[in-house]
Amino acid sequence: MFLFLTILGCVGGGIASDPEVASRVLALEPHSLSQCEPIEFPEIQSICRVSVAARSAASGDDRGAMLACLAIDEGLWREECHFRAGEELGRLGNVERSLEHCALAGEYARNCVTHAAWGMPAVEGLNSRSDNALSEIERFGVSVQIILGRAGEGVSGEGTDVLLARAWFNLYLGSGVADPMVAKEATGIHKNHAMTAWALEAVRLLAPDGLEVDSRTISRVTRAWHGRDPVPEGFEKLHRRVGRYSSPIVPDDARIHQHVGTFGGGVRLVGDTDEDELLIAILEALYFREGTLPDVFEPYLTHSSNKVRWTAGKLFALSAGQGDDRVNGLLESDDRLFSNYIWQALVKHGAAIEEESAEARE
Amino acid sequence: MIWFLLTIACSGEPEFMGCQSVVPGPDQEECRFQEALQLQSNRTALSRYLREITDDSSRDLIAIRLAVRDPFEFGWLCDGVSTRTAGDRCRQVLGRPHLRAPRRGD
Repeated sequence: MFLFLTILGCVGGGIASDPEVASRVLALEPHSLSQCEPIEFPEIQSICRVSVAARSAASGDDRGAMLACLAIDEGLWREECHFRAGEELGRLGNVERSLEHCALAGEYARNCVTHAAWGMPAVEGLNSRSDNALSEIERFGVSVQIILGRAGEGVSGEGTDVLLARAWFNLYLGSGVADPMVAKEATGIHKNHAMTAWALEAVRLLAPDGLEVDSRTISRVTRAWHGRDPVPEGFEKLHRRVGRYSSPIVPDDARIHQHVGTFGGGVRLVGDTDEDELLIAILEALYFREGTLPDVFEPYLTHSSNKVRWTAGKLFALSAGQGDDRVNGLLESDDRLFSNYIWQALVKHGAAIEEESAEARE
Repeated sequence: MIWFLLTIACSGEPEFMGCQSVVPGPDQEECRFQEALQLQSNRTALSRYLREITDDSSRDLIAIRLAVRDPFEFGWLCDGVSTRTAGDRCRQVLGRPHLRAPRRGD
C-alpha cells in the first residue's frame, strides 16, 4: 500500500501546463508590428519585433523596420534588430538607409557595415567610362561619412574604408572596361580604393582565367595604367565576382604603416610612392585571381621597397601555403617585419576563413 | 511514514511546484519561467526542471525566453528544443553566431 501511494505520488508528477499559449506564441510568423503587441512575454515580443524589422527591411520598408526596432528596449535585441535591418537594406542596394540602421547597431555596428557593404550590388549602368562615375562615388563617400559619423569613432573610419572599397570595386570589377582615367582623378580617401579596384579589373581582363601569368603580365597592367597600352577591355562579369580573400593580416609592428581596405574585409599596405602603390595593387589583384601561382610574387620578395616586399611575402605565403620550403626559408628572414607578415599570413588566414564560414552560415 | 516515502521517492525532483496551482494560461507560463529563472545559475537543476515540464511547447517557450534573455549563457537551450516551431525561432533569430559571443561589458 505504501509502495502504491509512493508511486502514485510521483508518476505523472511532471509539471503540466496549458500547451495552447506556448504553441500559439511560438508559431507566430509576424508580418506587422501589431501582431507583436499582444504577446504576453517580453522576450518573445522582442524577437517578434526583430522578425518584423527584418521582413520590412527585406521589402525595402526602412521606416517600418525602424519603428519595429525602436519598439524594443535598448540593449542586445535592439542592436540585433538594427543589424538585421541594415543587412537586409544593404542587400537591396539601399546602402544609405542601411547605414542609418548600422549606426544604431551598437556593438554590432562594425559587422553590420561590413555585411551591408559587401552585400551592396553594383549600380546598373555605372562604370569607369560613365561621365558621372567620380561624382557619384564622391557623393556616396560624403553621405557615408555623415551617417557613420553618428556611429562613433570605432565604426566610422573602418566603415567608411570598407564602403568606399566596395563602391570602387563595384565601379570597376566585372564591368568589362578598366579605364584608369577616373581612378587617376580620385583623390583623398578615394585614391587607394580606386587604384585597388582598377587593378582588379585590369588583371581580370589582361590575364583571364586559364592564362599563365608571369612578370610580363605585371608589365602589361602597368603600361595600361600609364596609358602606354590601350585601355583593357573585354567581357562583362557582374555575377559571382569572387576571388581569393586576403584576410586583414596586419602584424602589430606594422600597424604604424598605412593600410587600406581591399575586398571582403581584407586590407593591403599603401605604397610610399605612386609606382609602389600601383605595384602593390597589382600584386593584390593577382592574388585575388584564383590560379595565380606563388612564383609570380617571388621576384618581389627582394624588392627595394619594404611595402612591396612585405606584400609579396604575404601573398607568396598565402598562395604557397604552410609547409612550403621557400616559405619556411622566408620565415627565417632577418627582416623581422617581413617574417612577421608571412607568419601572420599563415596563422591568421586560417582563423579568418573559419570566421568567414561562420558568418556565411548566418 | 507515507510522507517520508514520498520524500525519498521524489528526491531529485525540482522543489518548485507552486505554479500548478496557477490557472493554466499566460500566468502559469510566466510562473514557470520565474521558477526557471531562479535556477539559472545551476545548469543541472535548470535542465532537470525543464525536463519535468510535460508539454513540449511550454518547455520550449521557457528555453527560448531564457536564450533570448541571455544568448551567451543560455543559447545552448536552443539545442534541446523539441518542437518544430521553437526550432524555427531558434534558427531564424538566435542562430546567428555573434549572438552567442560574450558582449563587451558583460
